Amino acid sequence: MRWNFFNKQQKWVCGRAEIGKSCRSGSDHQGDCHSEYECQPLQKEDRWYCASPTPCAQGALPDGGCSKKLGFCLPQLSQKAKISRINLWLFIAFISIFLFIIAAKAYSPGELSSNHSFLESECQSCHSSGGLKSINILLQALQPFQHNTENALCVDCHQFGEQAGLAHNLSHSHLQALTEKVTQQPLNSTLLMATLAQSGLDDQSEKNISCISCHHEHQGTQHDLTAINDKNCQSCHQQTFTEFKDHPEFSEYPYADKTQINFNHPEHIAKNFADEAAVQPENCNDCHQPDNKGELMLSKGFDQSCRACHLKQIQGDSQAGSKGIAVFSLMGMDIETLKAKGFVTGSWPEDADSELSVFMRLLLSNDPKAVKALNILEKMDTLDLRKASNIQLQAATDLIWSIKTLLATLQSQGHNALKQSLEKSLANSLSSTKFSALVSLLPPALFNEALKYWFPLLNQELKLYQQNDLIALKQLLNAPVIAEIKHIIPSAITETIEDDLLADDGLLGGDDLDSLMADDDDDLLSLDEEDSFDEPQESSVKLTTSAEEWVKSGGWYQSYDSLYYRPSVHEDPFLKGWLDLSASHADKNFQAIFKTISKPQAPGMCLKCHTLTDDKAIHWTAKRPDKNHQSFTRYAHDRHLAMAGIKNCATCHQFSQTSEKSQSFKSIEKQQCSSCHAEQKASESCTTCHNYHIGELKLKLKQTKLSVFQDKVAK
Amino acid sequence: MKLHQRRLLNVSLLVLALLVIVFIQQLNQYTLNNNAFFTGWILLVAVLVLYLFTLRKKITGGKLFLKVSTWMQLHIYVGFFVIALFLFHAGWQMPEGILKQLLYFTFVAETLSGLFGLCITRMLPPCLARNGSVLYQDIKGKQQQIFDDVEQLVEQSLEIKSNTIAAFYQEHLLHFLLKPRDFWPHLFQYKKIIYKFEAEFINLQRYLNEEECEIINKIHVLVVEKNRLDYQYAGQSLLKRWLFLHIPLSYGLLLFAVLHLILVYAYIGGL
Repeated sequence: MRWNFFNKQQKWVCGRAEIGKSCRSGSDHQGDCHSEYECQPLQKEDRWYCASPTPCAQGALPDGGCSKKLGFCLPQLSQKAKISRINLWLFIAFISIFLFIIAAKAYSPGELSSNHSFLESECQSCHSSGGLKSINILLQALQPFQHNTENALCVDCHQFGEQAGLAHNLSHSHLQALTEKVTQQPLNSTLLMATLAQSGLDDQSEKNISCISCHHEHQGTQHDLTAINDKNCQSCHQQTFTEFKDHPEFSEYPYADKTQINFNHPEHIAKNFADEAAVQPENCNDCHQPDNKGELMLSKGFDQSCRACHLKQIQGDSQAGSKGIAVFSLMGMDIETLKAKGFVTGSWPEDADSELSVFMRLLLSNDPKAVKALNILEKMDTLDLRKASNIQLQAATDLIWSIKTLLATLQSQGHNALKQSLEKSLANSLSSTKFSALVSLLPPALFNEALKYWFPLLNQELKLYQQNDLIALKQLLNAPVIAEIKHIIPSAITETIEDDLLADDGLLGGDDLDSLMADDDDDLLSLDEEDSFDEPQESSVKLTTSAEEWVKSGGWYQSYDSLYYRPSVHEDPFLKGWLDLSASHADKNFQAIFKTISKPQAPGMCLKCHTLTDDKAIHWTAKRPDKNHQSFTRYAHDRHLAMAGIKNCATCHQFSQTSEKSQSFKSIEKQQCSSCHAEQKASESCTTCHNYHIGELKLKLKQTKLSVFQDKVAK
Repeated sequence: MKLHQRRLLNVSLLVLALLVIVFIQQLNQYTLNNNAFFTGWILLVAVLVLYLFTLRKKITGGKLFLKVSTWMQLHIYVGFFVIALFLFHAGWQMPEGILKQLLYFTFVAETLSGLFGLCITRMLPPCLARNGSVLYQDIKGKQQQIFDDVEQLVEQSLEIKSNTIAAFYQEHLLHFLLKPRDFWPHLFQYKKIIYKFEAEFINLQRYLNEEECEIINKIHVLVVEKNRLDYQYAGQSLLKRWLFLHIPLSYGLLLFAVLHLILVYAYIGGL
């Protein structure tokens, strides 16, 4: 087939076409010229005619040849073929670029924000397809979208707890409760749009929200990942508004939540500074200062703001009654009645008239006999058992021996026994630090001294009781010498020590004692080296102050039937340890301890100022910035206080005498903010004052294995 | 339908389509859905519609697929729609990342070439028609013919024992007549070239006798015709050659767009 110059589809054209002298036959499809002559004559019947549109004068030769010889030409590419060829080359160029991008993995959609820039070459850290190659990327693209998978990679580092994917990291029930609080807004255009937009969607409230819904990465190093469009908020908050003036009125802001420290500003000022103008703080900054970010206004703390006036209160200086907490105390017992009715109780301090301390009750809770006895005696006055039944009398007796057993165990085994007993009550182990705080350096000498005062022959009594040798026990106690000992052994440092009670020539000397102490009766009355009384030293020291006063700066002391602890400093470890331990513990013994030491007027007065959390933990400090915790609202105190329009703290925080809130401040009204946060003035964006992620926000720290140790093990 | 009515209808449809897109975008913002996915898919579909025009041009005599001129109208207005959609999708700022930047550049180049093509296909043809139409493929032949005719006239002038015209031809006309000249001046309607020749011819006539004047007048007519053909050549070449840029760029655009689509879904966690 010959190609025609005028045929637009042909690839080659006659080489003479450029000069307007194209031959009729043109080039073939391979670009070869076969037209040596100008035309190819046509035969009609037996004659040949010139086939040119303008027939030449010579006409065709008799043999059918053309009379005009042109010679061969060099066919040229047609216009269309040239376009096709250029297209082809450009297409190849694009394909090359395409392949280069894939091969070089140059398909990053942009630089990461500066916070994530270290992950530039670690795509798999954020993308489940990050480590995939070529065809697998295509297959991944065709997978159904699983935002949970992608979210999991985000929360692997940014830990928002178990509800990471839910709105505001709050549970559905919590969100529902919050929603119910919100009053209905009248219909407006924004609400209409939001309703319309979500009319076709399922209820999203229980579904996980993809992180990428709000956070768009790969937007360059300067991109702010936390910059959120207000409309993102309005996708859920359908009772919407576009201007701050339409924001719902504040409700008790910012005092809706309990403060961590109970402090009523106007009351405190009126009560304490009325006559002491000299120590009255001059301005808010004397006690408050902004945190490092300038957002939270912090209290300066006890040492700077409260110590001067309140340390003595903590140490119990102004306390009426006991200034210490009775930790070990013996209950009063009607021993006479018990003896009269034939119950063997052994010795019991006659001056004991207290109640069994809550701490003792806790320690006894591991002894079933004691627990049973305490239950039976729950509402009884143990100082008068004349009308008690036999069961109650037996319970009283059992309780006496349980107490003695407990004290003897503590005496012989010390902290180990105490720790085991506490751990058993707690059903949990105690760290050394915690336990150390709970016993707060209880001096063994003082403990032993107290026991000697209460039960001079405790170990002998117990030994006979355990052997059920009641006769010997009675004999032991009926010995007149012992009766004397019970009254004469000095009570630690509280009494005047005048006599050398244990001297050979004293009360313990003589035949009576010799007979008791003889080795001939199974050593019943012999004293072990451990049990033996210390050799009393001759002393005539006369204390001019009580033990309670003696430990004015805090510590342990004994007074009659009790061993007390007196708080020493602010953040007293003993009180702090026991309050922490007992506050949230459900056991009634722990609750009893908490009730005792948490009374506002209890020694230490801790909970006069410190409040409890919802989880029954204790706020030991005033509110402090926690980088791992984020609340729903935020406020930049420093920037606002530096503004010309704001005079001082009282511009917003005004005392209210009628408020029942502990701070006694009037709630801040929306009007106070909306005067500046308005159109064409300060920002009205939701995220100016609100955080989306609420609660615990943590960054997962990398674990580093200590290879040096592993190498040693391997070797 | 008259031209202005057709244009009014088309522009109205275009504005309506854009308003629908803007409205859906606004709604989307209240659903936490990423608008880029919505605009991206619409953009891809619209670009594929633009490609259908090329396909339709290859089908001859297909009445079922509407007339090519109708497709041309569709191509133009969908093109404008795509430009607006692209701005919704990518924004005015240069995107980050090599692939996205390549895609951006390719789209911008494609758009500019398309707009350029639209301008010249609307502006040049009437000008060319006013200048006297001539088939593009005949231009070079006609210019060759002019060249031959001028050479023949110059030879005639030599036969009357004067080399004034030959010298003039050698010095001023030969270069002009050899091939199409002054491509860009013609495109910008720059008339000084022909005015310069006019002046030369007028100056020359003072040195010619009557017989030579007759010859030079004939050459003058041929030179004016050559100039007209040059204008036609420049205009018609441009009308054909802008597609050399527009069509290959469209292939690149499609390639990069498909790659972009795959990567977006692969790295976002699937479709």
